[in-house]
Order: sequence, then C-alpha cells, then structure tokens
Amino acid sequence: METSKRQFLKGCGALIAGISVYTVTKSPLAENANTDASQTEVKYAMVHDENACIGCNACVEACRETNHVPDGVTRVKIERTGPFGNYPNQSYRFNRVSCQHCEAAPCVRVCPTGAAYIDKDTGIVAVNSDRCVGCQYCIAACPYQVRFINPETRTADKCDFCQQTQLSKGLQPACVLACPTQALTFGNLKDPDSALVKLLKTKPTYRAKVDLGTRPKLFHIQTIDGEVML
Amino acid sequence: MCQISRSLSIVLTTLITASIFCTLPTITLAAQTENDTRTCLKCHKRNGQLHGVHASTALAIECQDCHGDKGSHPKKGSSINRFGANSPMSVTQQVAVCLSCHDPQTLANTEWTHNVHATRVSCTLCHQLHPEYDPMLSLDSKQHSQLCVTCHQVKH
Repeated sequence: METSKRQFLKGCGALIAGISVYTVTKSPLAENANTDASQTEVKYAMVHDENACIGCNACVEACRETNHVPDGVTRVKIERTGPFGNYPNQSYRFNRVSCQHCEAAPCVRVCPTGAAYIDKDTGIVAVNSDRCVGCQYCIAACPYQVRFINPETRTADKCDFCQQTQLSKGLQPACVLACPTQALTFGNLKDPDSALVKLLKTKPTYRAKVDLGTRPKLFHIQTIDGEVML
Repeated sequence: MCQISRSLSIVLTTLITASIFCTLPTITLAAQTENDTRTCLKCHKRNGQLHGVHASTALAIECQDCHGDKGSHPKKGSSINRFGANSPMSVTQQVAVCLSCHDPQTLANTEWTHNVHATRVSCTLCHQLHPEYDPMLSLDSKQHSQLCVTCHQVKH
C-alpha cells in the first residue's frame, strides 16, 4: 500500500511536470510563428510619407501614452536630418524608425523562448512578454535597431501596430490618429481597396535594408526637396 | 581789490553759464528717452509693463527699441511697430526686429524649428516677451508637439 501511494504521487508529479514542459515549448503562440503568414486574409502594413511629415513628434507622444511606454525608451522615433539650404530658406528630412514588421523577421528567428512571434492572422510581429526572459538576443538580431528592454516589465518591447491597445477596439494605431498632417497610412495589404494599397500603387516608395531579405512592411515615401544625398 | 573781485565774478558767471549750456543738451536728451518709456506707460499701464529676461536692467530695453518711434501715435497713421497675428507688418519685418539682437544660428542650436519658420511665422506668434515667463521656455515634449499640431492639423 505504501509503495503504491508513493508510485501514485510520483506518477502525478511526472505527469504535471510533463504537461507544464509541453505547454511551455508548444504554446499556440509558438505555433503561429511556424505557419505560413502569407495565406491569411489580413496583413497589416504602414506607409510614412516623409514629405508630409513635419517632425512634430505627435506620433511618439501618442504612442507613449496609449501603450504606456516609459520615459527614456520609445517604440517609434522620428529621425531628423538637416538643415538643408541656407537661412532663412531651410528644410529638414524626417525618417520614421520603428518596427518594420518583417515577413522574415530575424528577431523571431533568434528568440529562444518563442516570445517573439509573427501573428498569423495579421502579419504583425509581436512580443509575448510572459514568455520573454530578457536575453536581448532579438535586440542584437534586429537590423533596424528598434527593439528595447522595457524598464518596467524587463522584457523586450517594440511597436506592434497597437495590436492590443487600438486594433482590438477597431481603431487605427495611435500614431496614425495623432499625426496632424496625415503622413501615416495604415491598412491591410491584402485589401486592394484600402487606402494603403491605393497609396502604394500611386506613389513610389522604398523600404529600409531590403537587401537583407527581411521583407519589411514599413514603407516610406521619399522626401523630394532638399539636397541630393549620396 | 574791488576790480579783481568784479572780474572774478564775471569769469565765474561765464563759467557757470557755459557749463550749464554744455550739460543742458545731455540732460534734456536723457530726460526725453526716460520720458518716452514713461509716456508709454501712462496709457499702457497693464500691457506696457515689461517683465522677464527682456526687462533686465543690463539690457536697458526701451519701448522704442522694438516698437519704433512714437510718431503720431495714438493718432491715426502712426508708424508704430505692432506684433502678432493682426500686425500690419510682414513676417520678415517682425522677425527682423528680434534678429537685431538674436542670432539665427544660436536660435537654431536651441530649437531646430526656428529655421523652418523663419520666413513664415513671426516670433511673437509663439513667444511672449512682456510677461514674467515666456510660455515657450517651459513646454514639455507633449505640449511642444501639440503646439505644432495647432497650426499643422490637416482638416479632414
């Protein structure tokens, strides 16, 4: 009787341990990363019109407020170069730096815990902060240098197109709504009638570091004025 | 003895008169400039007061330094400089008054937006000189971006 009780407890313990290990290694989020995201109905992307952008940082502030990003770190940056020309006729160029939501995301590929994943329904590259151990491998792997460790959660953080905060409510991302000059266009790449696709078909755009094979989904409309830069 | 004292008194009188005549113009000039700022403040008790950094005694800024000569003011047709959104002066004219002291390069180093607004927006649309504190100097990053939005908002 004694031995059978011990065996029963041992068996139960082994079963619980086995189930927990199984769920950690094979969670539904990890499965998402393996499935082919190109088969889905929705694939979100963004266009930043550098001619319309005025560098006001309203997008940065809106993102900070909506996604509760602490001071000192940010999910989106507007990089400013210039001034070009002579006073008083000067101009600047603005470039949005944020997650490019790569189709072949290096951060997802290197993540050892499966915390970094591509959402199969939307094509959004997201972070599951519960699974992130803060090893910073993704930060090192990201060629666009847009990932950071959130000082409050101590996990990797970055732009997720406001998936949790705005898209779940049926709203556009906070930065898009905050932009006073409508320099940001967000939409579904798979929908030919979306403003995003129409814009991509009418204006020449570029994407950063495409030669790395990352297939990013953040498009830029190049600044027209200013000097020719080599 | 009497002769000497008479000649002495004549010399003294001429000296005193000469000295009065020599100093008189400078005294009246000083009195005039002082009077001008005071004259302005007689009417402009509230809106004429200058506080903050521009009121520093070391700068010794007079109303006339920015607003120009009184001329026929307050009668019609005065050429007095008025600033702000309803100013009859062009943006370049308004900015030129500030640039007589301020250097564009220093302004650009402090805040890059100075450069791109130099010919489009007068300084006084954002800055206020008369109050104790210029509201532009205490903006946080959110207020700063909202200030851009107030003008640049594209109507839907």
